[in-house]
Amino acid sequence: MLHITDLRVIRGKFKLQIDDLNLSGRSILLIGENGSGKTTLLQSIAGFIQSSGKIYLEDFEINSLPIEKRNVCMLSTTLNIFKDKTVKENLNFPKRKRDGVYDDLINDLCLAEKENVKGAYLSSGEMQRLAIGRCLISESRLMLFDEPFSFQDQINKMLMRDIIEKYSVKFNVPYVITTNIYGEFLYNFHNIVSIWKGMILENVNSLDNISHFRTASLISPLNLLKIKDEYYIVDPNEIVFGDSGYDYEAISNNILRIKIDGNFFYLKTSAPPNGNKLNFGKIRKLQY
Amino acid sequence: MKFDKLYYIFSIFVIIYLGIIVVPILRTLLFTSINGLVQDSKSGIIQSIELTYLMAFIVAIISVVFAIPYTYFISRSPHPFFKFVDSIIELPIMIPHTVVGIIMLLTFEPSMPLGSLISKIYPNYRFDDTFFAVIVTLFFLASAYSIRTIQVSYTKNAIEYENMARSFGYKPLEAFMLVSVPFMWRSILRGMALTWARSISEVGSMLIVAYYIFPSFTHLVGIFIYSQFIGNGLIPAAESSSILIITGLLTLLILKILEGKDASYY
Repeated sequence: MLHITDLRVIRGKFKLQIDDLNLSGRSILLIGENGSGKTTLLQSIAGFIQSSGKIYLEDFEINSLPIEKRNVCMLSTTLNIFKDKTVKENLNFPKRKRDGVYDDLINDLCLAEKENVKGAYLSSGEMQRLAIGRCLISESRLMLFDEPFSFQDQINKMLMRDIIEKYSVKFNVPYVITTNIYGEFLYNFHNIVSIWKGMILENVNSLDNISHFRTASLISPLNLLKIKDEYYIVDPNEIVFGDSGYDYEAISNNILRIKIDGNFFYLKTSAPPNGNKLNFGKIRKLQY
Repeated sequence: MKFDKLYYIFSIFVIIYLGIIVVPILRTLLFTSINGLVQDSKSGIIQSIELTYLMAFIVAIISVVFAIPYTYFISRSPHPFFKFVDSIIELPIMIPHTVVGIIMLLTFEPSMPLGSLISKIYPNYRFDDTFFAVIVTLFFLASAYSIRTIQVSYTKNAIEYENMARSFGYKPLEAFMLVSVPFMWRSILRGMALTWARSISEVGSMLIVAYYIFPSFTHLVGIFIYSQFIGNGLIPAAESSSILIITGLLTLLILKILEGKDASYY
């Protein structure tokens, strides 16, 4: 679906360098620390910034095309809602627009009651939903969402994730989401791409296949261990309680704190602790 | 509403500043009688003001026509060379205006290289005391006001909005006209008003390039009042000045109303 080769962007001291990234799935999660290059990568794909290299979207090379010919929409963190236009006008702004979608979409976005309200009078969360909707209604071949849940409460994060997925499936349009907030709403992605200092760390098809400590720590700091300078991840079911092993301190019913080689680690267990010490069954080694 | 001490301290500066601006204007207006103004209006000042306002308006329009694409181009040209280019446009503001008149003669007189080239295309071409001389010289002097005013409103934000519009299928010109121009509208009017006002006030360069304007032999207003002062003394010059100030204030007031409230696209 999306194939990137030899992509280079230089912005001051920062360099984005992607030699070969092949994303075959319809839903892609792009994760990385602040300043790792997530937004720069999305802006390069959308054509908002100049980059060298090739970007193939469904086998068409798009990096040589101007923005309007790429058919790629992008939700920026700045949202870019027109404050003087109503919700309806903002949502209908795209020139390339899908017909017959508006009524369902405005209901899905929970903005039907505010259809005639101007952008200036919306909350940040409502503006963000509107900006997401503007992408969904557009007739794009790829949708890029930069931090689309940052202003949403927990329930709306789930809702927005579902809506993006729903319209992506309905129109068979792939999408990329970047985030540095992790939670239950980040399920079921076809590709999970981790970026660090402008380079791709790994590209996997499931959270279970993450092999890099930096990627795993971005998803959750829980259940990560460093033992004798090696990094590991432990499944909650593989935490065994008994009379031998590591001392622990119960933070809550299923969150424990242990100290290994002078460092503290937090563990999530599948059941409340029932012994004086804990040990690990099978643990998986991670790259660092 | 309770104000802090700093508010009151700064209000003294505001009062002094406004005093410096307003007192001389009021003094001029109060110096003349209504009868005097009516009498002076027959001196030719009205025709002179009409011509000057028209010339200044043409210059303001041309300045905006250049300022909009200039702003678009410079905002998207990150190379340091273009920063240097951008600094050049303020140069005319610092050159003494009589020198600007001389520069214009050196450039556009038919006996000069560029002037002679124009002469070959237009055989009856002449420069001094023509409409062309007035417009090109005022444009040289006053266009920077339009450019800078419009440039300030065309921020990085505007470019982000344009990019968003383009990603939804709008061509660059469509995105610019649909997204940025409505937002810049107020600045465009303000830039026009500044260029217009600056053009009206010009005397130094006009003394050199267009003392009279052919074929009507009408003076621009600054020269007209200067000639009145030299030839007839302070009182008629003050009366003409009052007429100019009153018409100028009315025009600026109309422009202010036209500007309307702040656009708030972003």
